[in-house]
Amino acid sequence: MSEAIPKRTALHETHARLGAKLDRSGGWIRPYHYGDPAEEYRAVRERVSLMDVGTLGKFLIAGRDAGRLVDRVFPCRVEDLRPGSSRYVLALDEAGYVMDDGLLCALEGGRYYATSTSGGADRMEAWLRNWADRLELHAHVVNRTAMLGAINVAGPRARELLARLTDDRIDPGSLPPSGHREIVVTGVPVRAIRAGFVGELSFELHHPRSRGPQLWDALMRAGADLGIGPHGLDALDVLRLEKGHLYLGQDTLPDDHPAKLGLGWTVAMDKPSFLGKVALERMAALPLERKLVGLRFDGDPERGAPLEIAAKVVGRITSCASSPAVGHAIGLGWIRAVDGEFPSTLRSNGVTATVAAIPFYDPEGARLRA
Amino acid sequence: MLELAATEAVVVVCAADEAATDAAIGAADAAIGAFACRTAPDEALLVGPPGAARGLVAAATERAVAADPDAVVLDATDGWAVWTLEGDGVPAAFSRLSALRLPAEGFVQGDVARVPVKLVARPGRLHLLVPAMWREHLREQILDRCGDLGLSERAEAAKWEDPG
Repeated sequence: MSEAIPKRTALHETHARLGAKLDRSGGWIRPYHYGDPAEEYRAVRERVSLMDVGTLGKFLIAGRDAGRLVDRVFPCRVEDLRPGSSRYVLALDEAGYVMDDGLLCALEGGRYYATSTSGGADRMEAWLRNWADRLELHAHVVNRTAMLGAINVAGPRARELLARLTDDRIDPGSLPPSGHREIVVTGVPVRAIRAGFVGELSFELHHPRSRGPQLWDALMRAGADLGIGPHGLDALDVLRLEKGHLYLGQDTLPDDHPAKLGLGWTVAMDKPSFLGKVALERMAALPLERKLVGLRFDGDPERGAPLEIAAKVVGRITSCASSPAVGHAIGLGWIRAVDGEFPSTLRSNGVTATVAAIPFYDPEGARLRA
Repeated sequence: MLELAATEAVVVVCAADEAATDAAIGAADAAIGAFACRTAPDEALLVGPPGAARGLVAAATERAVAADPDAVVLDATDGWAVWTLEGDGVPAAFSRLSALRLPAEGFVQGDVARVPVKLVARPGRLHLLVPAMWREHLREQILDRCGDLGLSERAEAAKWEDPG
């Protein structure tokens, strides 16, 4: 029942003041844009920009068995995750299907800080607690989603902006890609996480919820001469698509295992055990019948439209956008194997779709690792 | 008379074994103006007056860790908002917000205006602890559904007082 009532972040009034178009997304009221999504996109790619990501699920996992819990429930390698490092994680169910994704940050003292998708927080909490019980592990899970806000500071000048507001070290050696550490920004204690959903140098600042407006306003003031601006979900949709990042739910189906999504690299099959491993081993012996691929279009595609070969539907476009970086429309979509092979060129409502490697933008990840 | 007030309070969460959460609850019992509620077998919330967070966290940690060395005790104040309804019309107002059976005195939790709320009931007074992201939703629902009961909203925030 409660999911029907949208949640508000601590920055709700701030967004309204900035003229944001606010609407529901993932159980929250979020800004879709602040009037000019194209300019918001450019701020991220060329300068520096802020996004309210306080909607992400946030969890503290503690206790003597915290490490065993995250190692058993997440398919990624955990044993080599040192305090100060983070890793992208998938959450799989026992059938090996992808339920959610997020980041896992190792903390001092054998504790972990994990994030989930905005709409998946309640399920992630229940899932973690359930498996701690079922595995009889001594681990405590605290859902910190309501306690903490988060602001993503993204763009090539993100570090320059942050350096104006902190005395802590944020150079690449002190806070490398996939690193995280506690720092103080304009007097606000934050956990800064080098995350990269938009494909640029980015710092997610996880902070006490009540300090969100203060932190946001200070960042906006300090970045005025850098051309700072906020960005909303509309700009994010293009930014993440250029990096080939999927939206769980929009780009996925309930029976997707990591290989179908091109996320096999997130799974450490050589781990002794993890949730869903047996199912993945069984499925690995079967040929892939369907997979998610990157697509380039020679026209304007339509999200949800079928992908066809010789008038036969073999897939569907799940996301698409006109990409300023690539110079034409790109997208993600499902395609099925035809006679045992995946097609490379398809048609969709009169538009030609060509299967393409992802990421479309900065495939080496140099900008992200700046 | 029926009055709605935002109430300033600190909230501390203890996640630990059952015995350890019992011990943490004891910390609230021993503190002036604090109240504790068990929200799950392995979780308790301690609520106290503004400024009490540090002391409550320290006291609860000391007690909880003695029973469970892995106990987690955190200042969770930012995660909660507290609204207080006060006056003769509290039962009538609450009946418009929730199907929960409200005790004359004590703690209960459940759906109120379609969001999960922790309730501390006292004679003539009801504290509603709501996750911060639904703070305004609950306020709007109380004002909307109970406006014809003579409800007024206090201009200044109240401070949490020992409800016991």
